[in-house]
Order: sequence, then structure tokens, then C-alpha cells
Amino acid sequence: MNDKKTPRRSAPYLQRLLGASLGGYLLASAWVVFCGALSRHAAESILAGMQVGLVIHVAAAIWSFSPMPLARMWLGLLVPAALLLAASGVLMHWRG
Amino acid sequence: MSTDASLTGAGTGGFRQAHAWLHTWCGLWFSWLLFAVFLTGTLAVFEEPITHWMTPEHHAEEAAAQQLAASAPASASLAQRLAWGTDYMREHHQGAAMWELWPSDATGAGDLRVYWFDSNRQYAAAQLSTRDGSPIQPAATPPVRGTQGGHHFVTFHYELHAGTAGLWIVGVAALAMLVALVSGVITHKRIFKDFFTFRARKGQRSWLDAHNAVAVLTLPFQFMIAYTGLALSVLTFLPAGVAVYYGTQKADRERFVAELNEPGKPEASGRAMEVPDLEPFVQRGQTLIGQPVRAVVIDHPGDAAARIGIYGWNEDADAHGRLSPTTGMAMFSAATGEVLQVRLPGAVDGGTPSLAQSVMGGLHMVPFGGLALKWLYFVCGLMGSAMMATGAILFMVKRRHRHQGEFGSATARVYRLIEGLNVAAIAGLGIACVGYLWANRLVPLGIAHRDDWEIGLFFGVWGLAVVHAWCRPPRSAWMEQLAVLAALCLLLPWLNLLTTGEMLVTQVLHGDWESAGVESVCIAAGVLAIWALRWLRHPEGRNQRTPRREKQGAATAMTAGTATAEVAE
Repeated sequence: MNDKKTPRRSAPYLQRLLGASLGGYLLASAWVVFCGALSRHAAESILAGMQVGLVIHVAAAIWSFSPMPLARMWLGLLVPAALLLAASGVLMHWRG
Repeated sequence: MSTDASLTGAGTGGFRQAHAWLHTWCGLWFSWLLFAVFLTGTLAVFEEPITHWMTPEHHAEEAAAQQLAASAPASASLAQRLAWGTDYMREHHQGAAMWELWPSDATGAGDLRVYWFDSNRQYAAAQLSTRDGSPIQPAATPPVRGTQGGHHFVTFHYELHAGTAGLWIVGVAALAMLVALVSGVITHKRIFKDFFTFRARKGQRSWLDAHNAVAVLTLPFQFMIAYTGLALSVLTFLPAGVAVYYGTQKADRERFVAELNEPGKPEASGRAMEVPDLEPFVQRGQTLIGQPVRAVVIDHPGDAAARIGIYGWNEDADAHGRLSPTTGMAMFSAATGEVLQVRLPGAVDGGTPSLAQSVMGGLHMVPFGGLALKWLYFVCGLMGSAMMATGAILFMVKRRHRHQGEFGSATARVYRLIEGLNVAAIAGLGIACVGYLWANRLVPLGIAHRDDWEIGLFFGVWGLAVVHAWCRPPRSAWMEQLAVLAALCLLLPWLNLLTTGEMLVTQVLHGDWESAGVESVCIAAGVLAIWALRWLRHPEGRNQRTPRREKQGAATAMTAGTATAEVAE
């Protein structure tokens, strides 16, 4: 494969790196926001969310570099993040 | 790691191949920084002994203070000390938002100190005489040998002496380490079997086996130390939740921390009320928490809403048996004397997440378990360093005969860059660490910013090692840097004898085990560097070794930061 290296191959590599770093960070942050929305005593649940968020980021990085089409990789990162943020919005609105 | 790891690309091939690729490259690019973080973090376990060795002028003072304490007549009572502290604060810092009195040590003797927030909300301190309660003027003369001592290794290993930017860099590296560990486990189909496999004298195979053995043996420790290290600074790394529900200002973050750690902290009422006699509060507090008093903290002193907190001393024996290093605490309302809150030793004020956070701090910084556990952390940390070093070396050993052309026409130059970084990051960092100890004895006493000079020399020596490693052919670079490392390690006790007159034998005779330990570990590192050097110089001699000795040697040579590639091949 090394002799067939073409410039096009660096693009998916870069996208996976972006997925693992920024996508993973976005997902972990969305999770922390969601944890904060779960409880009225936000401080403790935000702390728990941050502790788990680190693990989520690692899992997201592993996910990003697993063999699958790039579109599926992005879906796997962005859909859960969007759902978590939407759920947080609904919970906060509901509480007022 | 499968042998065709690098022949697949990112996210291609089977699941295991894709992760072999991830493990190789994620591991490689972060291995040098992680090795530095791990080796200095490992040294940081013995921060106090290193500081002790680096402040020889204090040895006599320490001995004199101990003698004085033993022969001195009983000093003022607890009630008297508290009264002196309160009088001083009333007279000089009536308007401070917080007073903190440290009346004595756990036995009722020792110094009397007071702390407060000054008008800029900075923490300020004073020491009072335990004979008449008058303030003691701090000594005008700066310390003879200005040094950060072992604390340099602590600061370097989590923020590289670069503040928040350094904290983020180390944080990213720690996350990359977790990713590399997970992908390494995925790659490993025979994780248990590999642990018992060591094929000596097989070049690349031996490096792979050594890498697998140290990694698998200490895998739980490596996961734990990387995760708890990240978790300690998680407020910086994942601020989204705090930003959304509290705000993005510094004050908002403080409000979050206060809500976590000080639930129910009262607001000032605006009505004046003298701070009451503290002794009854201290007595009640000591009974409630079952510990002698360490500190008395008064929020809003002089206000009717004032709150008095009594904090306890953890005895060594207690602290050794507890993962959470918190002490006992009892809170009282100053006006009514009502108990507001009690925290038993080892517990936390909040719920499970707070307790988990406290325990993670304990797990990372190992205040429990005493000396035995510190040594266990030291050995596991060295094996973690060995994991990074063998991984980085294995990458190059694999490619020395067979270019894999990952970087197109630049491959040869990138390989050269990596070879040089391996030498400088492994042997060079060892030189910088022992060079820091040399700097402590050689930088003239009494010059301004002496501690910065020592740290500057640490970085300067390391920078020289980088330049040297790129200027010289890899094999020569390894041998020369190992020789310098061995010389600096083995000559350190002589340097100490020449500059302070102390030597290993007298240290042992005087029972100064901290200094003796520092020099012994240094000598051990020097011996290992010599061993690695001989191995590199006489590659044919390796054939006479038994496989078992080879295995131990390969692992321990790495651990001293003296990894040698099989450059000879």
C-alpha cells in the first residue's frame, strides 16, 4: 500500500483525527451538559458527568479510528451529541 | 501489535488491524512526551527526599529544631494560643473575609500561625510567638540555596512549567495514552500468553516481548494513573457543564467549587458581632470528629452570620489506611453554637461524585499506604516509562532494515528525526534529571532567582541532548549520551562530598535515609547505564546470556531511562 500512496489518502486520516479529537470532545461536553440538566443540585451531577465524560472521549476516539465509512463515524459522534443537547434543552425548558 | 500494523491505514482493514495502526501512530507521536511525564512523575513520588537532598543547609537546622523541641519546656496551652491568634487578627485584620488559625501541631506543641484573605483576596500569613503571642518577623535573609527541590518534578510532570497551556498539553497526552492503551489491548489477541513470553536475542521480537511484558504486567496501574491524572484537572478540561449552568467567569467557577465543597456557606448578614471565645468550639469540634485540631476557619469574622469550622489532623496511621485523604471537620454557627455540619475523617461534604473525586486524588498522589506503596508506585511508574521507551524503540528497530515508506520521499528524513528524538527523549531526559541535581550543587549560592537557574539548566541540558542526538549517528548518539548519563549518576556522590562534605556512608551512619536513598537510586541508574553501554558496545556478548537475565536486563535498563536500541544490529 505504501507505494500506492496518493494525496487523497490523507483526507480520511485527517477526518478521523478530527472526529477523535473535536468530535469526541463535543460528545463528552454534550454529555456533561446533559448531566447538569438532570438534577436541580447541578454541581454534584456535573462533577459526575465530567468524570464519566473523560471515558466517553476515549471511547469516541476508539470509535473514530475503527474501520467504518467516514459518514457512519460522523453520525456516531454527532447524533448522540445532538440528542444529548436537545434533551438538556427540553429538561431545562420543562423545569423553567 | 501485529507485524503488519503499519501496512494498513487509518480505519481500514479489520477491527484489529485498524487499531494496530492507531496504537502504532498514537503511541509513537506521544511516546516522547509521555516518557518525560512518566519519568518525572515517578521521581515526584519521592518529592520530599529529593528536596531534602537538595537543601543540605537545612539538615543542621532540622536536627537543631528537633533537639530544641525535645528539650523545650511545655509551651502555651491551646486556649492561650487561640486567644493570642484571635487578638492578633482582631487588632490587625478585623475586615478580612476569612480568618484561619493554626494553633499547634497534633501534639499541642509546634508553631502558632494565622492566615487570612487580604484586601486583594489573596491568602496571607503570619507567625506568632508561642511565648507571648507577638508576631514574629519573617527572616529577612532568603534561603541560602534557593531551589524548588523535588517539586520541580511535580510541576513539570503535570504542566511542564508552562501553566495552563502545559496542563492542556499533558492532558491531551494523557488522553492519547488512554487511547493507545485501549487500542493496544484490542490489538493484543493473546494478552495472557504474551505475558509469559520472552524471546531473547531475537532483535525486534525481544523488543516487542519486553514492550508487551511491562505493559501487560502493569496495565491496571497505567490505566489508573492516566485516568486519575486527567480527572484531577477535569474542571479545566471539560468546562462545558459549568459554563452552561454557572457561567464562564472566574467567579462563576469559584461559585461551582464552593457549591461542591462548601454547601451551605452563609452570606454575611451585615450585623456586627464579636468573634466569640474559640476554645469551647474547638473542644466540641475535637470530640465530634475524634481528631486533634489542625485549623480553625472563621467565615465572615465580626459578622452575626459568622461560621466557625474546626479541621482535624490526620495521624499518619489513619491516613495510611484511607484512600480519601480528607480530614475531619465540624462547622458551627458562631452566634448560636449550633452544629451546622460534621464531616468524619476520610469522608467528603458532598455525595458520591465528590468522594470519588477525593479518592482519585488519593489514588494518584498516594498519600496512603506509607513507604511500601510509594515504592510500588515508583516501580510501576518506571515500568510505565519502560513501556513508552520500548514502544518508541521498537518502532524504529522494525524499520531499520525495511523502510515502510509511510512518509513518501521524506521517509528517511522522518526516520532520522524519530531516531534522534528517541535518544534525546530517553537517555537525554535521564541526563537532564540528574543534571538538575548537579545544578543544585554547582550553581553559586545566593544569586538572584537561583531556583530558576536550576530549572533553566534542566531544560538547557535536555535541549543540548536533542541537538547532539540529531548531529551524531544514532548508534554514537546512544553510546555517548549513555556514557554521560552513567558518569553524572556515578559521580554525583563524589560531587556531594566535594561541595557539602556529606557522603553515603555518613548519611547512613546519621540515619539520613532520605539522602542515602536519593544517592543510592542515582548510583543504581548509573550502573544500569553502564550495563546498557556495554551491551551496546559488545553485541556479540549478548549470546552468552541466559534468556532470563536478558529479560530482566531489558526491562530494567529501560526503567532507568537508559533504553538502548539494538543499534548494533
